[in-house]
Amino acid sequence: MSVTRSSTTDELAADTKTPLLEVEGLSVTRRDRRGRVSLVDEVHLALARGEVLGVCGESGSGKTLTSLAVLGLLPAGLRATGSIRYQGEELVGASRRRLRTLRGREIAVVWQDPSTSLHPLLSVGIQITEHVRYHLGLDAATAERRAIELLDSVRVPDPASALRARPHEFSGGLRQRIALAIALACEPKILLADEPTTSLDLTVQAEILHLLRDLVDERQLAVVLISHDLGVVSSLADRVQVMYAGRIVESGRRSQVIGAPRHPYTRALLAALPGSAGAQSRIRPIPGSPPLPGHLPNGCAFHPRCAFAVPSCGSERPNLVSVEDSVLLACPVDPFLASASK
Amino acid sequence: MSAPSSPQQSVLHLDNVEVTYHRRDGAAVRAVRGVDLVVHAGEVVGLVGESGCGKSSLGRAAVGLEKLAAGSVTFGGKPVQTLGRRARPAALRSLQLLFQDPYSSLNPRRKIGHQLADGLRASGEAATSARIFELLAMVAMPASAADRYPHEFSGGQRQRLAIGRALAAKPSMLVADEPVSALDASARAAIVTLLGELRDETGIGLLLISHDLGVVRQVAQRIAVMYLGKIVESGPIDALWRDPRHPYTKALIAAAPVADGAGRIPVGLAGEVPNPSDPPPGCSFHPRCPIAEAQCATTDPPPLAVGGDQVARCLFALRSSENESLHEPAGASFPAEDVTRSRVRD
Repeated sequence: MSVTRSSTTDELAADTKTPLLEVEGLSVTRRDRRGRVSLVDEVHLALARGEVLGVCGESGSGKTLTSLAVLGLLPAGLRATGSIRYQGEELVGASRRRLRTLRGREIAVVWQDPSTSLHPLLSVGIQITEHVRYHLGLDAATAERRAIELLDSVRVPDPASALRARPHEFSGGLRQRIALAIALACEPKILLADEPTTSLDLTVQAEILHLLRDLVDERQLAVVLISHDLGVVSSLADRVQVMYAGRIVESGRRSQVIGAPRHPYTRALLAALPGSAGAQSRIRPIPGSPPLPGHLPNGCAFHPRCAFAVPSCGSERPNLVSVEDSVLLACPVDPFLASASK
Repeated sequence: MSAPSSPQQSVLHLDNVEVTYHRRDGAAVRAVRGVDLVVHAGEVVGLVGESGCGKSSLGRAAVGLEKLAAGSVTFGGKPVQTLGRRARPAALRSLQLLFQDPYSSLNPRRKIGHQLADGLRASGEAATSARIFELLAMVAMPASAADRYPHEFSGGQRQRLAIGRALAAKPSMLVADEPVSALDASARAAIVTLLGELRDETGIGLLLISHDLGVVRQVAQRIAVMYLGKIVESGPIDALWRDPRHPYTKALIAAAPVADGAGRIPVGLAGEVPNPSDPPPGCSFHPRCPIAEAQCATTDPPPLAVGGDQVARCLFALRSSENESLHEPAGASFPAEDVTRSRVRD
């Protein structure tokens, strides 16, 4: 069922109609003693209605900075260049006022840790109604009715009394549901979900993933799902982009990138995960650590950790090129082809 | 690394341990309700369960950081007592605790070398650079790390350094409370692999506490699954992984996402761990249990031996598993309809 659904989404994405969100050549840089240090380098992405785009990579790969750039929320000192278009409208260089209108109203966000994204001293009701009153201009009574509907839609039990409680009275899973309710309050078209289940138990994570799936299907919500866990991305995403050291190294449909990974980094990320239930496979860590921004190795940034590297990997930086229908790959070695031809 | 003391000396033995907290309104919260657990030297025992199941309280009790309401904890035959501000008795120094968050367990203002030296001196050893480099090598960090501060390292590297500091006391037993849950998937794999290597090389015993059975499985020989303060299933890892008998263990296994590109969402477990100050009658798991029957609400299931060393606290633990194929670990591959059904209870 999910297979047929996702292939139609892919067709939609490939359709000529304007995607909801289009990022082209996005770079994020930081000023340093030696000049500008690149943190995100030439990232492209496109997102259509009802589509889930998974963005995967280790800590420090630039996943979160990419989403902050889309929101216009980069920390002081960081600069975004390139193009970010929301329904055709350019957001790089847009006024703060315009971005504030878009944030929450059109593009909403859920962060990793619901205990820091919710205000600890304010009731849940105030935190939801504030949002709909600011953006939609609802009066207090209507806003409260809307808040109850929202909590109900994310399956928070007994929404009316939940409105009067404060965040600490809920478990981590319920807090993340509340954060989702706030994000969805103004019926945004895009949800940026940055590690939305990472701080939760696996049992609760699965429940939240089911909830996100329903929201996507029912509301045609477009989601950018950022996660270090390819298992999470594999559960929900239609298309997947893998990032390393600020660049996209592989992208394509979920079944292609996760089902038949080609980049050695994607393969290494998969090998580091515990296998499926009942399986006996052992996890294999990726040797070494990701490079620090400003200290990228020459050539391919992954080559010092790569099991397939050849001498030229240390001198020539591979470009992201199309290798197969909808797969983009930044690796000239392409171990998938190498092993297939043997 | 010094050889660990003789196996018999370094056994961690928890006998009918109870940990009770008292809330300000006077209500008693029984976080740990009568747990028996033994960890031998050279053995990795995984303690698994959701947040709020009492696994951290049990870990803290195991090293003497939590006062026992009942029962006893002994290490190498000597009682592990809670301490005030006095020094830890020498006999207990070889029992060490490793925390979840290396960001807060390392001092941000002191160089790594100094922090390792503290650990060496505390165990009565001279803090020579040779020993410091040896500790760093044991956790696969370069000698140059000694001269740097914690913020200069990634989360995974910091957890390595925290392990190095725990090793300074030459422990024969390590209690690790969620040592990898703050890390990303590849750092998680690296730390788990490191812990397994340390066990192989030094013969250290390890109580590995985690919410992720798939990760614990990588290094543990035995697993104990905890729910609302009790061990609900325990046994050798292979038996438990292949043929879990408690529905809670099955749920934990089925909840892990599988990165196969098929787009299936794992089966969740509706509801929450109940409030430990007011546990449900009968089997504590029955309100969330997919196979609960009327008697589960009244009978607290006794531990049932289900073969080998596997023990499960479920009235139906001896039922043949075919009847419950729905709850097999292959749950992650349910057709969409079944997934929906399992969610209706939400």
